Amino acid sequence: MSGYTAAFEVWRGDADGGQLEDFEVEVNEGEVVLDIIHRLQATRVPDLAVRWNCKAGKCGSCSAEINGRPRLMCMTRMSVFSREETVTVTPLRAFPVVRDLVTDVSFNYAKAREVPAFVPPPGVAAGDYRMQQIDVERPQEFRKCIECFLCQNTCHVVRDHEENKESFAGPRFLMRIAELDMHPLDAAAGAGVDRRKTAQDEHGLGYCNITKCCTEVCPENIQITDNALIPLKERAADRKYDPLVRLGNKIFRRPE
Amino acid sequence: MATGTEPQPRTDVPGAHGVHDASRATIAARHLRTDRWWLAPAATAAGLLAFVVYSTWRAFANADYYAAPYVSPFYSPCLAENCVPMKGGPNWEIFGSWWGLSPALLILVFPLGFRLTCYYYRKAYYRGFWASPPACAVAEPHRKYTGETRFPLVLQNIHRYFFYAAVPVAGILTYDTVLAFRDETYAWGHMGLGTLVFLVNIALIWAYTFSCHSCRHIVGAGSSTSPSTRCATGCGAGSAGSTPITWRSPGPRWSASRSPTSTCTCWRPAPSTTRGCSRRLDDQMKGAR
Amino acid sequence: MTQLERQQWDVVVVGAGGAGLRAAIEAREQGARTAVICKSLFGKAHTVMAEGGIAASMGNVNSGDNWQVHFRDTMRGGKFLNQWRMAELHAREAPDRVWELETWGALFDRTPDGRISQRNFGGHEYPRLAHVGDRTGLELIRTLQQKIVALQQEDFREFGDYEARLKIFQECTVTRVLKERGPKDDGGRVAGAFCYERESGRFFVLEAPAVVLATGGIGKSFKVTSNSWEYTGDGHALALLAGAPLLNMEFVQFHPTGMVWPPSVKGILVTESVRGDGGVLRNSEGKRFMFDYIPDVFKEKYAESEEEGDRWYEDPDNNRRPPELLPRDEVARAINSEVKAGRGSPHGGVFLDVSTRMPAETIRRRLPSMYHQFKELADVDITAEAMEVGPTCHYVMGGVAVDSDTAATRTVPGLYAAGEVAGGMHGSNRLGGNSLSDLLVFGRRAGLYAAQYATGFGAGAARPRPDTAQVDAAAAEALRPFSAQEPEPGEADGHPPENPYTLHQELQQTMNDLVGIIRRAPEMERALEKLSELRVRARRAGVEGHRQFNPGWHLALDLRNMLLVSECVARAALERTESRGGHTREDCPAMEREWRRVNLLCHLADPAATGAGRSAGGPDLARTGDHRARPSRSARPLREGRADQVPRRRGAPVMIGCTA
Repeated sequence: MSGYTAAFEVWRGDADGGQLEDFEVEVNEGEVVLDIIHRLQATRVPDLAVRWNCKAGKCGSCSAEINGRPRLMCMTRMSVFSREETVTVTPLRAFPVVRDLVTDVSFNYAKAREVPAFVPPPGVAAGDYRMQQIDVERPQEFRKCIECFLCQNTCHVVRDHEENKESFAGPRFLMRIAELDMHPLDAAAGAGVDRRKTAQDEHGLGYCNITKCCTEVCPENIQITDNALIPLKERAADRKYDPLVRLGNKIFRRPE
Repeated sequence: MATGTEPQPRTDVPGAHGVHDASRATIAARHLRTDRWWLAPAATAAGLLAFVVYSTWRAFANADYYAAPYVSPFYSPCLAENCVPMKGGPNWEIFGSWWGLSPALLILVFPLGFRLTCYYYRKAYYRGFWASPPACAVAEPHRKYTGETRFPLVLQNIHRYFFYAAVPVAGILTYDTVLAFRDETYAWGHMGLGTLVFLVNIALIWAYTFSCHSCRHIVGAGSSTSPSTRCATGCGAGSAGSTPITWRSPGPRWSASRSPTSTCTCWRPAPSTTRGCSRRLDDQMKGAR
Repeated sequence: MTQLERQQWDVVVVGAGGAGLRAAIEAREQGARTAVICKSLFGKAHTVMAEGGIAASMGNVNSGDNWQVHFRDTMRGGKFLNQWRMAELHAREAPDRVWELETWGALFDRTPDGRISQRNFGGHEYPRLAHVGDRTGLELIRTLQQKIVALQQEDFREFGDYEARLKIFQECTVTRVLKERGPKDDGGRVAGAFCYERESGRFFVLEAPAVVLATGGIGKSFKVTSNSWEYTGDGHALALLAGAPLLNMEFVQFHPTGMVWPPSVKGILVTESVRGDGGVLRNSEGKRFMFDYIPDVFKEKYAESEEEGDRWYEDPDNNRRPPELLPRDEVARAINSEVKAGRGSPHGGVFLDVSTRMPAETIRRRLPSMYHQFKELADVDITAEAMEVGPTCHYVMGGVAVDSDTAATRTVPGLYAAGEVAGGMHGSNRLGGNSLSDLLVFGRRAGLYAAQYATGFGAGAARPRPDTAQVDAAAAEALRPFSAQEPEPGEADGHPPENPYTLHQELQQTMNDLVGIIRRAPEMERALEKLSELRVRARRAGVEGHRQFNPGWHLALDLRNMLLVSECVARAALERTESRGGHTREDCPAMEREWRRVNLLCHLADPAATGAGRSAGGPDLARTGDHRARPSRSARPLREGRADQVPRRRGAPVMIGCTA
């Protein structure tokens, strides 16, 4: 397969406005969308703003929307499009735009701070931690997350409702809560943090209506909905909506 | 600093919301997807709608639900006096004679509730019927969204009770399947196309019931250590016979694994027990080698 | 003068990779108010690309392991050019640093008895690498990132402000380390850093008595590299410009296995674990050629037949390991020779095959991200066909010369360096897995000593204040690309502005072709000529548009650093007339005994040349003295191979003479 010329539409602009601009650009075998954006930068529009780092799907910087689908530009091969197709590249549409393909993702960093950190088990010295592989595998799946924020971007709770950003942490950080709650040695409960209850009360777990778009766009193929959000909803139900469990706790709790 | 770690204060523009919010990239289209994203929700909606119409009709029909030896799952167990008598079949006239409507309605509320609150069905109908969202990265038509935080949708959280109810119903349908091995004269040893349909049906029902997320949670996923770990550490001796509830009891992590019937000392919540537990495991591993 | 936002901090850390974040955590825990500046978003640093693991002699899998063995392996791997004290501290402290990560929430893969699992790697005598599948770097960066957030949460509880004592300035770049106005131009202490915010283009100054450089490597000066765009040698250049010399810059590690096809992914890493788990290298004739490339010194340690090599995977005690697991420099050279001899793969690499060695299911389980990477990027199913691989620029062993214990630079008070940007720890060749542990051990030390140094000043007037002339010069320098079409003062008009992207491509091609994996004196001389030409042209690198998130401008500013560092690499490589570790001379193929005691230091001739027009890209390197290696004394008891077969070829003074 040799090179060909592809039609591209790239959104250019900033917070004050912008539009899709048309480009005809050379495409060679094996290239990905990010290569094309780089070619535009090097030959046509040197100030085209774009975030990228590793170009290997490991850092999660080059998130954008390609033909309307949230994807990593470095992992979207040109061969998935037909040669006649116009490829549209826009910035993430759930976050404030900064310039061209770059958006202000500070929402995610603010939410990250609101999740109480791992609490080490008191009295267990570093080096004495013992955990079974089978138990760490569940939280390990969530720690594959490269924080590309595609799930945060595609989640309709905040994408379509700006006002929900205040009360909803988004799939990435609800998954983080699930990860900590599934950590075999996390001692948050002993430190007075009820991760399950606060997931519902403070981080907006109830907003999630499990329509699975987070899982659909995850470039790491993490089963966010099935393995993190739904189990977390069940755990929250233990605390808030299940009188049987409460009764059980009362009866079986050993006197402190 | 907009790329800092503090979000900027927002300025609200009336009339603009969601992807058209003033802060976002100005793109007029609700979405830019070029694939047939509407196909999946449309197919789901059409399929579900057809089933809802048909099943509502059959549920209210109160007729044609028993042809010995087969009983429609909609009418099993049959809990009112107006049921067709089924020899050896699921007739329990709990509701007596005052119930005048179709007896299917009495029992269908449980499987219906189980499916209505089911996490998979929720995805299907929120997308297909409610367009919330219609598909990923396609803007939804609603101005307000509170998800499952308020009545009535907050009731989705009682899914597990419908699971508890669905288990006996599935048990009764299993009983019906056994009865399907009789012929129309109630003699055993029969097997017809209906029997096969019953077999497939009950296999799918159990698969569906046991793959329920609530079920997964109740049988142990609610704990941060797996039952096999607790068995491996020798601390889980009592857990096999204990009720599932103890696996997701609160409190410090290690007491969470405590079972009321267990006498295992290393399940105390004290931190040193972590090491106690693992030491015990170390010894076991050595023994195993 | 320009009115700029100024902020006062105790410690400024440049870079938010493993070393930078570890330094920031330590500095903050020591009570210093700490600012971290990084070019990308927080948590995107190049450390996430590390795959194999963290080397630490915890002895969880083989209890025969201890820090002395790790030390010996490191020295051997570095061909005894390592700063022995750094290698010792590294080997001693690595296990504590790894265990500490667990208390911050890291989840490593486990042994059956619940401890941290460890895996084999090239050059390590025992299974030593703590790992999480093949994404260990991501786990490391995420753990440190989350620890930073935890500290910020503490501050929020105490002060009501997350950033009271620890702040991340993300997507900001430092262009100059500022010093006080000293008695001599290069005699002053560090006083802060001059930065710009990528998003807005706004300049600001962080005033601090201590600056820790943790900016990583220089790979983006090479065309085929596994490094990300950030690796433009910023820290190396900042140190040089501040008057701190660079050590042994000729040692650049080429990882033997990078992807070669398709062109757009050329250079992306194929982890060493592929070979560790049974992958073999073949040429176009189907031959496992590595058996022909076992150097004499390694003969007794490596298998002589394919059968023996294959048995090693199952029974390592009674068989020798296959030669595919030779140190990286040996394998990279062998692949290079095969390709040159015309036995390469269609796209100029060799074949790395696991598909005939393991069942498909095992491959997918053991090497998930490699499977994913080839499937997504090259449309190659590694369970069914061989990969095509070739050497790729991966790591620079050289770097800022630092004190082994404190990570302080030797000539600039208040300037510290840790991680890849610091030199000395790895000698002439780094072992896989030693990088992540290096980040943690020396990141912590840099943070610790920087905090102690900074808090020693108190909050008062004793603190060094940035020289305002330097601030103005830095601002003018940073704005230069916007007025590139105008002639410099005293220069004839008529040059069109240069495209920074074109300059960058030419630089990469030059370094790749002329100072690459195999080096020859005439080629390096050509490279130096080309570099000085590029340096002149880079002064005219011009950009369009405005300062708001303008990648062309950012690249124009980074070019200065890349050119400066590339020149150091080329000069040092020309100077060292032997082959050792990551430095291979075709015209001087042997490792020479005398050179083992010699470290090459690269100074800037005129560090005070901060004038706006002149300095953009102008390295003006000067003669410096040689620097007798400290490692040799302790390293002597350990044996070194081939030291006695030295052809007498070396020029008399061991000096780098750099002229403008």
